[in-house]
Amino acid sequence: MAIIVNLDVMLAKRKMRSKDLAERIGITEQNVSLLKSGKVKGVRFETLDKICEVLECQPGDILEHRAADERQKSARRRETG
Amino acid sequence: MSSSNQSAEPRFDMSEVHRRVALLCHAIRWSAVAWGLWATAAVLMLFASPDRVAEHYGRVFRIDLGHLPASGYVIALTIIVLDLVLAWLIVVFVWRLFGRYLRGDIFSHEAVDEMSRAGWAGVASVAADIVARPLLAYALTLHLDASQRHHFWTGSDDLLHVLMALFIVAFAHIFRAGVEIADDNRQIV
Repeated sequence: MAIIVNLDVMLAKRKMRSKDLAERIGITEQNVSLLKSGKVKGVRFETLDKICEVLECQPGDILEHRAADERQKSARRRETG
Repeated sequence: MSSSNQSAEPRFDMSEVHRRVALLCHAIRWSAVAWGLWATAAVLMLFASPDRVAEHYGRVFRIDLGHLPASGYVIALTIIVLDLVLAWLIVVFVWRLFGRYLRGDIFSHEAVDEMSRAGWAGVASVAADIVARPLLAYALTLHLDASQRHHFWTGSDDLLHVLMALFIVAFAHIFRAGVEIADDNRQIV
């Protein structure tokens, strides 16, 4: 899917640990971890609302749409180093 | 985002469902066992002697079966025992299915498989019952004149039992779709 989750970036910017975020938004650390790695099928508006509130950001700071060719390019860039 | 087999922790509180059905699950499990024991006891009492078998089925067929030969008695007992084995198979599947529900294992593929097995065991049991009856009648009247041989008897309850068993099989299919939705839902945080 072309949706990239930048939650780890936002957590780093706010110098917050996953555990603390999980506690403050009321979901398990496991779910935060799955969300960070993008291994989920969806995010509830309710969860997104709480994340934005705690991290003081917009949904767009956490979720990003990346076109397929763009993703291929960045993958190739990573491969060539 | 990528699809994954990993599941997020479910948000829906299954303990509420568990609380609502726990008593029913216990009742269904023990009723199934009671039914199995009842059926077994009835067979044991009926087949205690060939005379008792002749007397009982004589009333059912409305003929005098007279002195039942040992071969007829043994064949009849074999048919009844096979029928009883299928009945106990239903008891086992029902026990296991509702045991899963009691453990909170409701929306899982394993629970659906168990439900499907219980349904098909029910269909098999009713079908075996329908087939067993003419065989039983044939075995018990083998020593009589051909004109007195009863080969078949059935009732509207047979259809009702088939309907109920098929209902469970159909319900298992519907439940499977529910499990797939629950799987999807588990991957939404």
